[in-house]
This record gives sequence, C-alpha cells and structure tokens, in this order.
Amino acid sequence: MDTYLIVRVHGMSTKLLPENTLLQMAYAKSLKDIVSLLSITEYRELIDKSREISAEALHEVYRSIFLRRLITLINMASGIHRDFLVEYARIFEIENILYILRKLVAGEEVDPSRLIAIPYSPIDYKSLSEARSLENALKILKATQTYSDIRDVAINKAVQYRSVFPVEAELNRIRYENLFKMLNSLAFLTVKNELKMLFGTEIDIYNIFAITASVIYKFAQDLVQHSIISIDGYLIPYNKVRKALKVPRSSELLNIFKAYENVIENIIKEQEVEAYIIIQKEIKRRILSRKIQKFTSFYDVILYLKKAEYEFRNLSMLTHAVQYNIPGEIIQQQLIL
Amino acid sequence: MAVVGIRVIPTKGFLLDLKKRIEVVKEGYRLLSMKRDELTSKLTSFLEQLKAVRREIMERAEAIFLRFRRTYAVLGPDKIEAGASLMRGITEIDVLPISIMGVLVPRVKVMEYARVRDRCDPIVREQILKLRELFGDLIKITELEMKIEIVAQELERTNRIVNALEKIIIPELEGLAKYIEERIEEEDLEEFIRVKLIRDIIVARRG
Repeated sequence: MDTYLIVRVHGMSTKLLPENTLLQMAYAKSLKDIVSLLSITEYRELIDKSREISAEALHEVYRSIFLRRLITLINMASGIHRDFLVEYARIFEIENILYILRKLVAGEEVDPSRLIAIPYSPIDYKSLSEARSLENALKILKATQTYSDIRDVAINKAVQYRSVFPVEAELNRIRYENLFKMLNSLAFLTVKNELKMLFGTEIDIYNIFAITASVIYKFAQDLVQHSIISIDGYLIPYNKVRKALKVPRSSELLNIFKAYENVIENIIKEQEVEAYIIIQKEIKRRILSRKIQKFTSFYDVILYLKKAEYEFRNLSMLTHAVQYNIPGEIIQQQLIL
Repeated sequence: MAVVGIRVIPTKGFLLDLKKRIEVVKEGYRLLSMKRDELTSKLTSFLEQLKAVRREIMERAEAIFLRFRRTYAVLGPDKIEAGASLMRGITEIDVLPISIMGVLVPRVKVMEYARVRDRCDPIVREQILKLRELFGDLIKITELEMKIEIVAQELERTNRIVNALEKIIIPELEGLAKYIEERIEEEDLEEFIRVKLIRDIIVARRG
C-alpha cells in the first residue's frame, strides 16, 4: 500500500480552502477582493505571475494548481496506484481529444496552447490536429493502443451526424472500464465499493443527460442511442438506460430514474444547470459520507482529488460570477459545498 | 404673376387648360393626403407593435442572458466554448417585399434555423435553444424597425409634397387662374366699350 502517498495526501488536504473562505468570496465586490483572499494560499504564486486580473486569467491559475496537485500525486504514487491515478487523469486526455475533434467538425484551427498538458499521455495531439477530417482523426485515434477498442458503429455515427457525442461516450466507456478492471485487483480491496459508487454515479449522470436529449429535446434517437456509456452505472443499469430511450413522454423518465428524481425534474423544467449543481452536491455528499475504517486508505487520495476538483470548480464559478455581477445569494446557492 | 414652369397666355383656351390642370393637381393632392394619412396610421401601428414587442423581447433577453451568465459561471469557459464551437450553423432567411401604399417594405421569413439539435452539449442545450429562439425574435424586431424607417422616410417625403401642393402650388395656380379670368374680363369689357364707342360714332356719323 502506498502509505507515503496517503500520508502526503493528508498533508496536502490542509491546503484546501475552507468553506468559509469560499462563502466570503461569494460576496466579493470585485475580482481584487477574491485575489486578496487568495493571497495567503498556494494560488498566490501563480496569480502574481499572471499578467492580468480577469476571470479567464484566474481560471487558468486555478486549473494549473489543480493539475499540479494531480501530477504531484501521480509522481508520488507507485505501482498499481500510479496506474490508477494515470487512468483517473485520462479525463483530461479525453477533454483534449474532444477539443480537437470539435475543432475539426467546426472547421477551425486547433490552438495547441488550449490543450491540457498531462504527463504519461501517449496521444499524439499534433497528428490528430492535422487530420483533415473527423473521419481521419477517428482512424488515427482508433490506431492508438489506448483507444483501439472504440467501436466502429460509434465512429460511423459520429461521422454521419458530424457529432462528437458517440466518440465521447466511447472514450469515457473505455476509461471507466479500465478503472473498474483495476478496482478488481487486491490493492483496492478495501476501497473498491466506494470507488465503484463514485464512478458509477458519474456514469449514471452522464447517461441521464444523454437520454433526456432525445426525450425532451428531440435529438435523433439513433444518435443518442450511441451516445450513452454502455456499462452499468451505480444505480441505473445499462438496460434501463436503453429502455428510457423509447419512452414517449418525459414524465415517464421520473419512474425509470427514481433514484435521481430531483435531477430529472429539473431537466424536464429545462433547468440543466440546476440539475448539474444538485448532482454535484449529491456526489460530494456521497463520497464524504463513506466512513473510512482505517486511517490510511487509498480512498483518501481519491477523496482529496475530488475535493481539489470541487475547489477548482467553485473558484472558477465564483470568479466568473463576481465578474458578471451575479448577486452573492445566487453565487452561494451554486457553490458545491 | 409667375408660376414656375408655366408660360402664361391670358386666353380663354389657356384658362380652360389651367382649370383642368388645377383639377388634376387637386385630385393628386387629395390622393397624396390619403396616402399620408394611411402611412401615418401604419407608422403609428408599427411603433406601437415595436414598443410592445421590444419590451417583451428585451425582458426575455435579459432573463436569458442573466441565466447564461450563471451557466457560464457554473460550467466554466471550457465547457461553454466546447458547446459554442459546434454551433456554426447557417440560418436561412428570405426577405420578401410587401407594398404599403406603394411603399415597398421588407417582410422577413426565416426559412430554416441553424441546426443545433444533435449538436449541443447536454448541459448547455437549454441555453442554446433559448438563444436561438431569441435570435428569431431579434429578426422580428429588425424587420419592424426597417419598416418604420422606410415608412417614416416616405411619410416625410409625402408630407412635404402635400404641404407644397396645399400651401404653394394650388394657391399659385388658383391665383393665376383668377388673374387670367380678370384679364379676360377686362379685355371683354374693353372690347365691349370699344364696340359701343365705335357704334356710337357710326350712329353719330349717319345721324
């Protein structure tokens, strides 16, 4: 077991921002107030280097700190834990790939500076960016070892509809399958259920948003069918998701996805953002509520990463909200605490 | 007595022509007055429509943009940009001319909205669909504003012509007609007196 990693994570957790600080920032009058609140934190170094005080510049700072924390953990880890964290970090590799594919669909130039630099990522972004079409780019992707498992039907649908959704679902499927496979090893015996709960919930949410596209917003059913992650989630098995695709009315989704009733209700009311905030708060509540029997547990590492991710999201949301003069009460409601 | 563009010959024939011309001008004045009244009525109606539509659409736009700012704050620039990069559709519109009292104004018909279904990211689709709806509303406002501008310009022009006719041309023409009538009357009287005098002289010589 990676005791050193877990102990370091406990130390790094003390640098996460307390809730009170975030609540204070919600009522900041300007970005300068936010910057002054962050002046005694590890964000200060990058903020000082930044050329301007704007929401976009600060967003880059927050992202850099989050990535730095993630990469530090990966570098500290060893063996299967390291492999697990590398697979966990693949979410950024997927974001990079999707960014390039979207640019190809839109017929725009790829800006390499927008790609997130992740170590241990074997993808050749340059050749992907230089592919002349979506189809070529997907062929290049399928030729890589990591994503050789992308199904041809997803590629065909992506090309047919000129949409990245089927590919996004496939990339995520591959990532989650790898994560679940690793969780079956002995090293994760004590934390397997908790982590399956976390990733399973993410799959549930992804599929809910995908399915409602067809039922509520009348997206092409054929496209949506291939845009869902085709593995069982935590509370919603895959066959239930497929069944939901055929419901004639949005109200029937409430029966099928009872476990996520409040999320579905908001989506039906066309309030996706509220649904998104509710589910993020629910995920955080679930991962925090799991009692860890032992002091040293790999679960603490993932818990720390999720807290760091929420800190990044909260800071980004606060900063943009203050820039756009959104009232403090509304900002407070949107914080994932 | 001068009326621009008319060479005055104080004869009965000219007077008759002039009176006919005055009738035509008066008829033109009457028609242009009707046109002016109709344009005024249309303009007033368009302005009221614009006021109501604009207020409603601006309220909706404010709500949509407020919500969009919240969404942008929650999701962050990466997700929003990801969604926006795929929204490069083309909206096809057709501009048809319709006539209001001979004035051609545009009527905009949206043939096809940019396709956003099947493309927008699930989290931002609500925003994108509302923004697309707003785009259609803004086209309506633009159409109304163009109509108002064109009708107002035509109304101004018509008003100038009607006023010119009412206050300058018709009075001048009528004045000219009166002058010619008086001239003819005077000449008639002169002729009558001349004839009478000559008759008296002839009678006196005979007598």
